[in-house]
Amino acid sequence: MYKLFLCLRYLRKRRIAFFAVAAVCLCTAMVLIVVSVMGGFLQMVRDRSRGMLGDLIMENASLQGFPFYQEFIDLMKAELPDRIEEATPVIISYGVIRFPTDQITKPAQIVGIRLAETMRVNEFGKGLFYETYYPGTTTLGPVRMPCVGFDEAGRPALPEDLESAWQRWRSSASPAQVAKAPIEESLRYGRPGYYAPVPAEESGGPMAPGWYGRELPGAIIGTDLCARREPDGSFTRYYWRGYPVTLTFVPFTDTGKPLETGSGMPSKLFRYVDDCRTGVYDIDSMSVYVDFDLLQDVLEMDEQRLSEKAGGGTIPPRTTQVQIKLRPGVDPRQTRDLLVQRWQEFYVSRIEGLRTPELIRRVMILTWEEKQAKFIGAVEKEKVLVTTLFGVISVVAVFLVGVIFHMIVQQKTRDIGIIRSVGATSLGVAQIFIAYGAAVGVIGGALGTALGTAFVWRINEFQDFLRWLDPRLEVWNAEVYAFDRIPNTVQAWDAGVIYVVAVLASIAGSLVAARRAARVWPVEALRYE
Amino acid sequence: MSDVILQAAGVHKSYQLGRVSLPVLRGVSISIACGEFVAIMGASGSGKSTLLHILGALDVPDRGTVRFEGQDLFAGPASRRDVLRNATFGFVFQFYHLLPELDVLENVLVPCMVRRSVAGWIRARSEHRRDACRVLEQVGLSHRLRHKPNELSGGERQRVAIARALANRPRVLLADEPTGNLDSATGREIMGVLGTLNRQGQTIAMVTHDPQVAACAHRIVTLEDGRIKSGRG
Ligand SMILES: Nc1ncnc2c1ncn2[C@@H]1O[C@H](COP(=O)(O)OP(=O)(O)OP(=O)(O)O)[C@@H](O)[C@H]1O
Ligand SMILES: [Mg+2]
Repeated sequence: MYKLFLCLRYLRKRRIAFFAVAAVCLCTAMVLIVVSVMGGFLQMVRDRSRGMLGDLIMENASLQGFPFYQEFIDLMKAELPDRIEEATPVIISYGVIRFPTDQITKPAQIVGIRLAETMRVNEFGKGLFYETYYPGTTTLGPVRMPCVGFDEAGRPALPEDLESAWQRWRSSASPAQVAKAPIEESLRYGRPGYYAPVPAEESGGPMAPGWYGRELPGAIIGTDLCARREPDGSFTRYYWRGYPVTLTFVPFTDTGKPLETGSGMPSKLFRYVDDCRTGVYDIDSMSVYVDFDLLQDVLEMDEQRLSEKAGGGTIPPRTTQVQIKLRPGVDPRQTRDLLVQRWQEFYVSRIEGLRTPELIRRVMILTWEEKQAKFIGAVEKEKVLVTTLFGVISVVAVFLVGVIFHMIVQQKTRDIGIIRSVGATSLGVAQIFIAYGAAVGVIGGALGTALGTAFVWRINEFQDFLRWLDPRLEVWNAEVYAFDRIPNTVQAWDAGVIYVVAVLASIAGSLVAARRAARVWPVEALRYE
Repeated sequence: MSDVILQAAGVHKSYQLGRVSLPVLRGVSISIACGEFVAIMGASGSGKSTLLHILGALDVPDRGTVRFEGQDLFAGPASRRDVLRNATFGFVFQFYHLLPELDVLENVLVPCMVRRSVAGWIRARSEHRRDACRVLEQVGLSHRLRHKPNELSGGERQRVAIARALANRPRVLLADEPTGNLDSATGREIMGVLGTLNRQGQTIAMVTHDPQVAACAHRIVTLEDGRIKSGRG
């Protein structure tokens, strides 16, 4: 009983123990913050990778792409309906985007997608801005520009179809979502997004809201390419929805030669119909999404007739990637192996007489993890490295606990003699200090876990505050870390493990002092005042 | 009063000072009878404290035996001596040696806590508290239960120390210069307390170099040159 009693009493009365508690607390918090942020970063990388890609990716890592994709998709969907939920071809090409108002050009990754299919294969749809608040209104097909006009009562209003889409979203969304909708207060129509007023030349009659201008194909633009990120995390859009942009393409032949067109590089006008945010800065600051068939056509990746001079025949249509979504619970690796086998059986009969058989032979099927393995692996290594580093730093805390306990034992030598003289065993005396160490660990660890968790939860606000003090104090640069927000979740498992380690480390720190306490020779301790 | 409770025979003890061995006790033999009040006198440095510590199983002799009720104190594991110190002997030191973080009552209860496990303590707490209060009343301190040692006078501290020594109703009370740090009036009070205890049957061995204090005892033995030189009564 005396062990518990004295341990608690010393904990209350010895101020110096608070230093030990504080040291344990800070180290626990530090390690927890590092593990949480790095772990969260890793999780984000994984989630986003999968969200961007789907479960399996088929590609040959070339700009020319590979043929027979549609036949293979159809075949597999028919043969493996219980495994494959959806599959869609994607063309990834490079080019230039130009915004006519400010005549700014930027490099762009021009991605050809089938919008509806892509939204089923991966999380692309979730990152769309206008599509979220005006469901069903984003298309890549030819569109005109939606303009704000005035209703009969003279209030500013959106075109009828957009207004009803907004109402549809609002009635299906939760009140919290509605409250969070980024309604532009300065724009008098009071709806999310940025819309142009009815152009002057059209407003001969009543300035009714509606769709104006000529029809142009739609393009979805990466959010960081067409909007400014505000410190509070919202975006200010530079361009009206439906505003024209020019894309310039860089086409290649199937053999990889630059395509010779009569009038230089092909260029085309599009309308900015929506913007898309994956959360990966590198993608959001570069990508422009257009219709698959249109891009295939522009890049001459559709079916091509070869001239007599080139040997005649046709080149089948090509894609650069196929993204595949598996049914829930289906093992991606196993399905990947199965698809690889099917693909090899599939192409042997078709490769005959093809001008570029290598494009087919090089097709790989990867899981999303394999596709991103380099990046995920690097982040994983970084996590282990940083955690180890901070773990090593935490050894300092163990030393500090050791030193503080050593001091306490030294100060308390006489008291140890006293309790030995009334019958305490040397083991019992040691246990007082071990229990004391455990108590320091339990309290310090708990405080540290709480502190670390609170810090991680508020980490983005903290960073915003630092940036507000001085922009140079920004620690998390979206362009470096790919994600715009610092991960801010704490895994209960991480916290638990760190807490247990903190308690064990504190006990370890107290062991030397406890041993010393056990060896106090009572007669010596009691000889003097 | 003739049955011997504590008996030392040929006890040797020397301290190592660097290379030199300093003999302090050189064959001390002493018997203490049950209910006896023995005073041990001697010059400073003659080894009185050392002898008392050995008698109370706090220190170990180099040679010789100490028997408590016929049983060798130093046979068996060290834990046996821990138990004996807790339940059989009560120590009172010249410098009181109270735990500064604990109040009077808690100081007196420490030996009881040492004896009990947590569960045992919770069960027997009120009983121990009652005992401790009774002992504190015996030494005249029942009005100071919640005071810390640094709020007490020297005499009061020594009374607390006596009360603590008595907490587990020891068979033998060992007092090392209990009045050494007190003025003579306070010293007399403490001796009064010890005398009363002795009349109630408590066996006491006390070290002192004050002949007046020693006079309260039944018998005075003197340590000289590491041996018992004289005995009286
Ligand atoms: N740990 C030690 N190391 C070396 N010498 C010691 C040690 N403890 C005691 N001594 C020596 O042993 C001798 C006896 O000490 P002890 O404390 O028993 O004397 P004492 O008779 O109680 O003296 P006092 O009346 O001053 O209390 C002294 O000379 C002391 O210096
Ligand atoms: Mg002495």
